[in-house]
Amino acid sequence: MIRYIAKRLILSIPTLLGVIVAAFLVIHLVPGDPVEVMMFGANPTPEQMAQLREQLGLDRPLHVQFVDYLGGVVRGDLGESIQRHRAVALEIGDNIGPTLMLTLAGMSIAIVVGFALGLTAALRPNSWVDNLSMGVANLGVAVPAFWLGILLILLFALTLGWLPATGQGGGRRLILPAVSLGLGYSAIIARLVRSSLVQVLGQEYILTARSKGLVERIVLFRHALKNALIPVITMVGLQFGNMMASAVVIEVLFARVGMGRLLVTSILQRDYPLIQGTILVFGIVYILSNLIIDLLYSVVDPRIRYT
Amino acid sequence: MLTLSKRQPDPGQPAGSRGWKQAREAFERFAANPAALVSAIVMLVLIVVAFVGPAIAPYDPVKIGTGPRLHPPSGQFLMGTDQFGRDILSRVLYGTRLTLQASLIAVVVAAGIGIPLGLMAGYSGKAVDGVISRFIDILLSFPGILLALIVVAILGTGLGRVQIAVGISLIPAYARLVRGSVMSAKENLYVEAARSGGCSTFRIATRHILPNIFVPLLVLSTTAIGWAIIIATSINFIGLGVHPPTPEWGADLGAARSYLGVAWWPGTFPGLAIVVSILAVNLIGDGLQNALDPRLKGKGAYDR
Amino acid sequence: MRAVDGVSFEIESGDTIGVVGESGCGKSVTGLSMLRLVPPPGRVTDGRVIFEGRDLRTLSEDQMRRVRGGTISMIFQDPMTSLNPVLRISRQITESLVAHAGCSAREAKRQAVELLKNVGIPAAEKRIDDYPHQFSGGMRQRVMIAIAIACNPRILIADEPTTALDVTIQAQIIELMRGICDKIGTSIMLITHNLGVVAGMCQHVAVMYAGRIVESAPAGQIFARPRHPYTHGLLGSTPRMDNVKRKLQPIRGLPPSLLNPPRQCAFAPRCAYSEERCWNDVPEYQAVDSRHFATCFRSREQLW
Repeated sequence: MIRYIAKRLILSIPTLLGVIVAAFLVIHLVPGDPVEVMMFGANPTPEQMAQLREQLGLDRPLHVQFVDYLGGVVRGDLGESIQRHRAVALEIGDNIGPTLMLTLAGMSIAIVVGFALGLTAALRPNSWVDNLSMGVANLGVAVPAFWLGILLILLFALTLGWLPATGQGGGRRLILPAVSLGLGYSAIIARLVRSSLVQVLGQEYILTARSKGLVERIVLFRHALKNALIPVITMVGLQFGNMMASAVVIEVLFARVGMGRLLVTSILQRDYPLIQGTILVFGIVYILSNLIIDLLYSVVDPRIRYT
Repeated sequence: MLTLSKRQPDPGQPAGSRGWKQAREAFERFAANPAALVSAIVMLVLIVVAFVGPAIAPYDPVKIGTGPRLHPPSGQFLMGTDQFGRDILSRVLYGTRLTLQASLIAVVVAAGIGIPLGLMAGYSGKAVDGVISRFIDILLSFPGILLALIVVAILGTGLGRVQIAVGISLIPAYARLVRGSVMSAKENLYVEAARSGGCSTFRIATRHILPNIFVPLLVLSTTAIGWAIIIATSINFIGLGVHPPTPEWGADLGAARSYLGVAWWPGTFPGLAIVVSILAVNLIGDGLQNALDPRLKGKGAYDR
Repeated sequence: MRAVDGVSFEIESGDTIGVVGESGCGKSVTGLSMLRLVPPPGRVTDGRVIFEGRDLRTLSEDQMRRVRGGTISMIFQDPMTSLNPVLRISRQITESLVAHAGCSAREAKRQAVELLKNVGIPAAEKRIDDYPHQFSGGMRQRVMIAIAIACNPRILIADEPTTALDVTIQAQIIELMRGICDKIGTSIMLITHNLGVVAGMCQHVAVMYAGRIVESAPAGQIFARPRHPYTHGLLGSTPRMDNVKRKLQPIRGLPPSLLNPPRQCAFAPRCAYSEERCWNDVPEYQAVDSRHFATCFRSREQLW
């Protein structure tokens, strides 16, 4: 199994490099002169522009810039934010925690609700329970998370007054944002759990298990679920990156501190070092979450482990 | 008496010769699906609204002070007014055209770049495929909305940029689908090419590959329109898209945030429009998939 | 659709009975229905399954579960798909023992190792903790047998146990089954389409066609003096070691559809000996001998 993990790690290096290249290229893809764009509206003097250009290293050849950038990334130096005059790494460090917390909370809700919904549907295929659950799931996929958030705020915060609509940190203040984020994805998970479980329950080995006279509970939880989990785990892993990106929008809605606010303000301010750093971190998180999924996958499916 | 006539399905046959009959069968299957049928009608309505919205809108969507500020839904203002006294119904109607247009352009951009990319990757040798696949993988490292945000970061805000951004974020889906189909079709293709003396492999490719991927591409496009709507409205919601006072569903929802405490309608109706559109397009996609599923096409090996 | 209509047979203690027929004749469904495992939407509408004096159909689901695996067990055709890929072999064997014999985990595992040895798996102590994919096809079927006999069942229903295996392995598995079941006194209901397998192993044979048993007799009589045209045809189309030069005679035609069967002998369309009455009535069981009967109007005549 160590070999499997090591192989996965090595295979992800080219993607990692690609992400770094992509982040690096952002500032160079800006049409026109990036320095002009960044200082637009501040009516800079030529000397100021030259100074910024030199500070960002844009006056040097492209490949030299890239090597510098790469070196910086390895060292943990992602440049300095032009607007905030702080190291990009520090800005991101301040903001990534809350976003990760929100994403994890949303993911937990998505898994719990999605599983419950998909399980009930799969156990009574083609019944009204199934149709209702999947109907709800279809609806859930069509509802944008930020609108769901607005509705939840209207209902639970403003009308009923049960939960706070804004605020930082965990606890009660995390509930509405996490639910807005997670519910949409729970629909996706529910549909997958249902189809996966229905397919597994039709397999021969389930018939074997029943012919052994095992109680239905054991057939379901010991024999069926583990097999049904395999595609679901893959999906959850893939969705983690998506969810973190959606968290950006949710954070803006609930006025929470996090990568969302960081990204929006940095884009509005054309603060490219900060934008680049943020993009890089998102990409790294995606690659990491893929690796973790690969690990989980090998734990659940022994055929992977022993090949 | 039992008859025994064996009819072999021929996968190498060009699609055109059996096209029309199957198209009609598929249409009948689609029409028999209530959800898909209703959605198709809804979609039609939306398209009509997109065209005539401006004509049927009761008020000017951008004129400040059309009515009282934040007036609840009433006979005069069916969906109420927003914080500038503008009629929300008119804004929603105008917004229909914007959203549909944006998602359509995005899908065209994504298909226009993604399909050729996928064709190249699937059909060319390992080196080209490797490069293109890597490129697609990197694009996939950034989830849809993030990719779109990156493009906005590079190109700037504004409606046109958003459309391009959303389009770019959907390229990987198309490229992957096409590449996969090409790779599996290649098996048959080389046999066919060998048979016809290797002439005009390109024409054989288009005659065989494109018909086979037409259905999956169609279904993907309906889902992609749904994604495009979500991404575009999200970008507008957080203020990085269209500029005020452009009426756009997501942007209007974003502006409504500050007034939720006193007015629920600005934050509700545009969202409803979004959900209806995405639901319709998704159900159409599902219906299309059921109607056009290759597993249902074609007769069995024996006629009874 | 009636998959099985008119099946009646007895299994003597310690005997092996073969149920023979083409694909789709309802033999698998017969086996499943004995254990009440017919998958929905199918269900058993009529009949009795009498085991040691009790009608199994009257048992509660709980009681039936105790019968399954403990008193009557079943093995299936494809060992690749009949074993759960994510569970260790030890678990798949011990869970029967724990469920029916009330063993402790350690005792169950010890017995499981013994069982593996009895079915001829080398290095049983090491292999007990392996996963199914680490075994070959023949080995997997041996594991299936081990699972089935773990609780010393009175009856083993074997649904095409050798069909998915190499010819060379088939004989080994049959021998294994016979040896073990002789040793522990288990009766076997062997479901197969392979007459050769039946010849070597069964004391009694029931031939099924279109959901009915068309002939039932001790093994010797079935092969020497078949009384139903279908059985006769089946024997004629089976290669025999003792007469390799004989020309094989296939039965022309196809098995009938089981939807809405007409009121006639189901085999009449393919029968070389059919008469007027065969087309107008369903033949009942005609006794040819004390333990030999056939559903053919002409079973008592010397047709061949």
